[in-house]
Amino acid sequence: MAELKVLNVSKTLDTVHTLSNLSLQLGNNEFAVVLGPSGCGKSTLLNIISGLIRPDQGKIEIDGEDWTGRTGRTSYMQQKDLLLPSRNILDNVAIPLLLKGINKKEARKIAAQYLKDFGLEGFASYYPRQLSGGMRQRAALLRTYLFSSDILLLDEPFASLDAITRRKMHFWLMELRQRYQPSVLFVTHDIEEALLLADKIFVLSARPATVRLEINMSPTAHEHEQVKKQILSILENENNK
Amino acid sequence: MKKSVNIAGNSFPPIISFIILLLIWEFGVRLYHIPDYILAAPSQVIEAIIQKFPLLMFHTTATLLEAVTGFILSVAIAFVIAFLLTSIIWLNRAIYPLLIVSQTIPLIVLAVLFTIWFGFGMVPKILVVILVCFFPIAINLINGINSVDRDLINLFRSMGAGSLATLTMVKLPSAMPSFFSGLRISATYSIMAAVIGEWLGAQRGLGYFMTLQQKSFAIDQVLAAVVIICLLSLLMVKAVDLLEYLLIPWNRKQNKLEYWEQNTNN
Repeated sequence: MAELKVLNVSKTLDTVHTLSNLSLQLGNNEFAVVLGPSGCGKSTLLNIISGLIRPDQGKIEIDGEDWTGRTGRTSYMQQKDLLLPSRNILDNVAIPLLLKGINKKEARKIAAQYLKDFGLEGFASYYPRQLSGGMRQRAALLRTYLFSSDILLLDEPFASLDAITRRKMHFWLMELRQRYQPSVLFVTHDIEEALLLADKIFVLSARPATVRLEINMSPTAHEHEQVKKQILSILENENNK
Repeated sequence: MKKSVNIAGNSFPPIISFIILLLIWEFGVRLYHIPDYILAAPSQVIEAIIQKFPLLMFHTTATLLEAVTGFILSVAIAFVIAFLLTSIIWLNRAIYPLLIVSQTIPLIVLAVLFTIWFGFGMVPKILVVILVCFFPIAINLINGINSVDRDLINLFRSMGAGSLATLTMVKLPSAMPSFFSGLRISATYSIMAAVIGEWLGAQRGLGYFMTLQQKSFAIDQVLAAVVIICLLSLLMVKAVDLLEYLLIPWNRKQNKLEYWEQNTNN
């Protein structure tokens, strides 16, 4: 089971009121996308869920347990790949296993099993600098997955990639999802990306952010257009505020 | 094909300019009949090196030993300082200004004081080398550690890494390129610092040798020692380059790749 609940979270960063009474839920094996205008506090939300910062008010519950302000349960991936330039790909993705106390040899063995599915077969001994942006993001995703395989927080993971690579990554991610069935909270400001990937979309307001609209996606294309218009009108309103 | 052209293009100009400079010097000295107690010609310097080779080597070993000892101790001291200053904030505030001040004191004065306190042996020379060499290493190491991406450190925190794991996995490797640029600067200074220490009073070493030869106006011998000093300094830098090549392979591969990319793009 991997159920995540964000309950009435508020946060003021320095003097900026960033999140206001924000609640959302991520069900088991669900792929939820958080959409919002730029600078609305999406990354702050993920920082709070991952436990890196404490909310001023509210709670983070995972499988009924309180995880507010505690790191180590969910795994968190950012827009930057944040791979260590000093380690080759295999040793980079094995880091979470090493941090859990697994010895080096064993960690490498476990990590190596996943390279093929993550499109990194044959690149184990390459350094991050030698790989393309898409491959580096896949390596970062594998590292994220190896830390915690059931709840993944992805903060605009493909934003720095070019359009074609991003599209390939979307299809690859959907395949991967079918195979590994994680619960994913995916932050983006790209509506197309949200419509393509999501089971559920949370549209956030401008700062202080709160959930403006929650949409459960159904697979018909006709409805996609309507949903898109609906989201666009909300986001435009928020940007004009 | 292109590669060989490039290597030739890189190393020919300095060699040619160096030879031209030596030729001008040689002919200048001969043409204007400059007496050898004023300036010796390159040929005379080479002759002096050959003639006095055993004596020069006797002094060189002392200088090299002082420089290398001081250099290695500098690295150790720089690491201790960098660790303490980057992990304890109030210590950084307290110590950092002192580090800067340590570099503003005239070296000559300190070298004399060291000789008064510690005599004419190797210790005062090693201290001068340390004083000159630790600073660039420490400053670069501190900068390297401090300039690690905050997001990277946050990522490691979110994965439950302790401060020791963060230091050894993230901070230290990231600081290595910066550390080596400090190390290279110190390597060039190390021999010179040992020579300055010897100049002010010693029983052995190239600096001591030069003071003796200078007093008897043996300019060719003084310059012979200068040549040796230059060669030793280059040797130190090359040793650092080799160490960097061995210790941070990830930078090496990157460079090769960039080199390759540049050449294919052109």
